[in-house]
Amino acid sequence: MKNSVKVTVSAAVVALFSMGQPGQTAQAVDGKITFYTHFTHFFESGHWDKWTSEFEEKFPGTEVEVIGITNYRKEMPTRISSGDYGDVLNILDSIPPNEYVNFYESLNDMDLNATHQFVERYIYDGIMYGFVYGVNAEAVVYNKEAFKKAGISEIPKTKSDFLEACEKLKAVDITPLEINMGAGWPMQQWDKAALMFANDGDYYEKMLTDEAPFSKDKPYGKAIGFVKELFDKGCTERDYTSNNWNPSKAMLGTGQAAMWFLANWSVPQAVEAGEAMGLENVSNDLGMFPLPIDDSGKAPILLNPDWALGVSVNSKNKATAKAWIDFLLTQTDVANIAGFIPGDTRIKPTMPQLVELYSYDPVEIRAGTPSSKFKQAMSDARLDFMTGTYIRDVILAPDYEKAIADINRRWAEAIKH
Amino acid sequence: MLIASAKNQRRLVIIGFLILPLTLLTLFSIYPFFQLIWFSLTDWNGLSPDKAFVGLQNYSRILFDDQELLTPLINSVYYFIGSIIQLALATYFAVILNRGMPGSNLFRMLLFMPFVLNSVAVSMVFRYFLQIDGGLDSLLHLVGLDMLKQEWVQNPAIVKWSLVFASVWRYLGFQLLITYGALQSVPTDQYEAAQIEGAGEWHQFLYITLPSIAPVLGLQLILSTVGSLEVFEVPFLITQGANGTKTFVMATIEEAFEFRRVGVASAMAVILLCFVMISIIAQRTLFDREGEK
Repeated sequence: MKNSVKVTVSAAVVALFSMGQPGQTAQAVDGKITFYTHFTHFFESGHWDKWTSEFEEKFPGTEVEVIGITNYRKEMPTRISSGDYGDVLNILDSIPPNEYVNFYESLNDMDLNATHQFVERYIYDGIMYGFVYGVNAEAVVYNKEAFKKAGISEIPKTKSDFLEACEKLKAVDITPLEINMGAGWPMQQWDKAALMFANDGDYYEKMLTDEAPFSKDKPYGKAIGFVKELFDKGCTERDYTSNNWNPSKAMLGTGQAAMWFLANWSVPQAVEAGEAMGLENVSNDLGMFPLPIDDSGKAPILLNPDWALGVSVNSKNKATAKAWIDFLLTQTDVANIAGFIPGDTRIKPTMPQLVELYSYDPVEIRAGTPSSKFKQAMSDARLDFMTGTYIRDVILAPDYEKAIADINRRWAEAIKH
Repeated sequence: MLIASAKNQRRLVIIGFLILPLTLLTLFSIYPFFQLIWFSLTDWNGLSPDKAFVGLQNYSRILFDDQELLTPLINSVYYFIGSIIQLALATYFAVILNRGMPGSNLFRMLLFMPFVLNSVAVSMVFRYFLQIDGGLDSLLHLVGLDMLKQEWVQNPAIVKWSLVFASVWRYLGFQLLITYGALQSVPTDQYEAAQIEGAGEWHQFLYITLPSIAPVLGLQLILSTVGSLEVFEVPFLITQGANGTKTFVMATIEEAFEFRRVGVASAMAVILLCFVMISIIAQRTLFDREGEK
């Protein structure tokens, strides 16, 4: 009975709207939308419930269904190819920008662009497709208690200091640096680190004219070589084949592991995991410092936009979808809770770790947008850019030099056509 | 008034019973199969609405230009060796159980249990079992064999055998059950006659049991060949292909969903299908010949 009433009402609503003038009449913020998010831990913390009910209160008649996807990069393309992928979703980086138009709705009529950063990354042919949750600074997250235990009094400023700190940590049985090789995706950090070694946010594009960018004297080769050296010296976790991402968060939170090279977004997750183990105020134990990539003493941080939100081109409630994005990014503290530098420039970052990071006065490198030509070349060379499997395979290869030569050869072949 | 003849009625019943399985078969097997072949002739990226016909280019690429894609097939050899060991073990256990030793029901259940378990669950269990200081290491420690402790999945020399072991453990029960079923149908009077003639256990097995279950063993050999070509969930869940444990199916999935070359991936799937069919045909002809002897 209840259902049939609902159907009648919604049929009436549909009829009402279809009776309106054809053309550009603004659609009302109404109806139900589906939202696919990668923030699955906001379900347990109750944040999604809170935000959706606030939104539904603000816009009566709306309903937001939030669906969490744990492996967003892998699962969403399948949903997208089925045509049914809800109303609001992240902009997938595996879709080349020239194909955005097939999957995402233009957001040109939203007035977020004036106050948001990294908007240029999601503009193609003058059409804006997405707004970022926030910005990440790629740097080392460390556990102060672990450093204290190992007798490290000062933050390592050079690579030699860094390696020395790792040895000290090893001596007291603390895993110095968790690279989470078993989980796969955290190895993408070394794709990103290439930009730091190049000291150039647009370095990827320059690789298109380089036939051997993975050689050990080139930025990309240096980045992979850096993690390879740490791995060989036993500075990383012992179990490097299983996906221990969740346990690793607790390890860093509780100080059984000392560092990882990820970005600010990872801090709240380590705090949460540490507190789940019964510790209190884990946030006080965690800090951030820039990764010393060499002995120059000037360590850079890399600024990268996080996921951006877009609207599905198949959405039936585009107005509601846009209102939800606007609401989420400007009216809620989602970015700060997730540990970002908020995408909305009017909201200041509140996380103490970010404040600490900037106190070291790091060189800022803003990551450019990898072009679809570059991504295509990576894919043609069978190098899973930003997924990390190929970096793992190179590091585990019995003959490192040969493995590097091999990816250089594949790359050279890929940029030929 | 129309009176349906018996013939018509029978036809109606046959159609009625067939329509459901045939619809399901067409919908989920035959249609996707032709779809797969069509994809393998295109350059579809899995997302874009249009796909261009490229003929046999994907096939020539896999088989001639870019043989890297075929290298994971080498890993199937390990699983094939594993499956031979598994077949021997299964036959051995089946023969013992068939002789009705005390508690054979319990043992049969224990050996069959792994197959009933969800294979994802089994792989997860083995992931923890094979971890550093995981179940296997603890067990070795408990019985004082600390020197045998290994990095079971980290050491490149051992990892493939660790995975094969997990796979054997899982599928042993299934083969055992089939062989056991075949053994049950061997008439006991033959054994009695052989015993009277003074044949020992080994001779009984060699001249009575083995010939009777040979066709079933042949079938199992086909199944395990196909199985070892198509290994997926065990390495996927335990190592995610690290340390050179990537299998052909994993490479196919990576090609389709990581590198967005659904065309090439479909061609890989078709090639795998051809390998499977070739091995089945080869084994069928071999065993048929034995039958003629």
